[in-house]
Amino acid sequence: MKLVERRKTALVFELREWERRVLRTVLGLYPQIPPDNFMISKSGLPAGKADEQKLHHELFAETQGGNRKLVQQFIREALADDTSASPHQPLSRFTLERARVDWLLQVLNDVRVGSWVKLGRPDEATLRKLARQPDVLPQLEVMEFCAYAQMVLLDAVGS
Amino acid sequence: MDYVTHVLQKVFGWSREKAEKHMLEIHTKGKSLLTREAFEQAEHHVHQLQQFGLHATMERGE
Repeated sequence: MKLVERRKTALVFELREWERRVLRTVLGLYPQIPPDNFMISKSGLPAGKADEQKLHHELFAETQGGNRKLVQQFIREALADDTSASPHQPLSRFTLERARVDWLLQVLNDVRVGSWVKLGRPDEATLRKLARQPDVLPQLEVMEFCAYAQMVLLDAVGS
Repeated sequence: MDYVTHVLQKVFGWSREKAEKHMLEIHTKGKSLLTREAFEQAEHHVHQLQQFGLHATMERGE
């Protein structure tokens, strides 16, 4: 996956066929972070603000719900199968509006962090041990691919 | 790590240098004090950071 064209309002990326398929699959996993994953405060909220945590979780879930629809649309439109492509044409392209770069970064990060949360929030040493377990490998590969795609996007916007 | 820097720049409008300083502190110490501000503003920032998937909390000042 690499940036091949910078337009005024959009970025164009080139993908190998396997990358397009993996990206579709990985994005299809969204959302992964449980809505109640994050607390507003570790030490507790001030008196009269107790409902804020519940509202915060509801808002998080609502945002994920809205994003999920956008992700499905993105998969259908930007990452659709190219039926006209020749079997000898291993590369495909997708266009991402610059205004949606942060959105896609956020979605990829949700899948990456959520996969890590579901693995029990392992540290680096534990991750290395987990990499020897075949049943966990798909989740680790999802995390790796998300990190890779995020890196490409960040490079593309110059961060 | 670049992602954390990018998000801090977006949410707080910081320079890359300042965002990187906090990112490195998070990376090495596990956390960084990002800002001191009123409850509502802090809550808004916590919400923004969490929407980006970063683990952020607000604590009462001393």
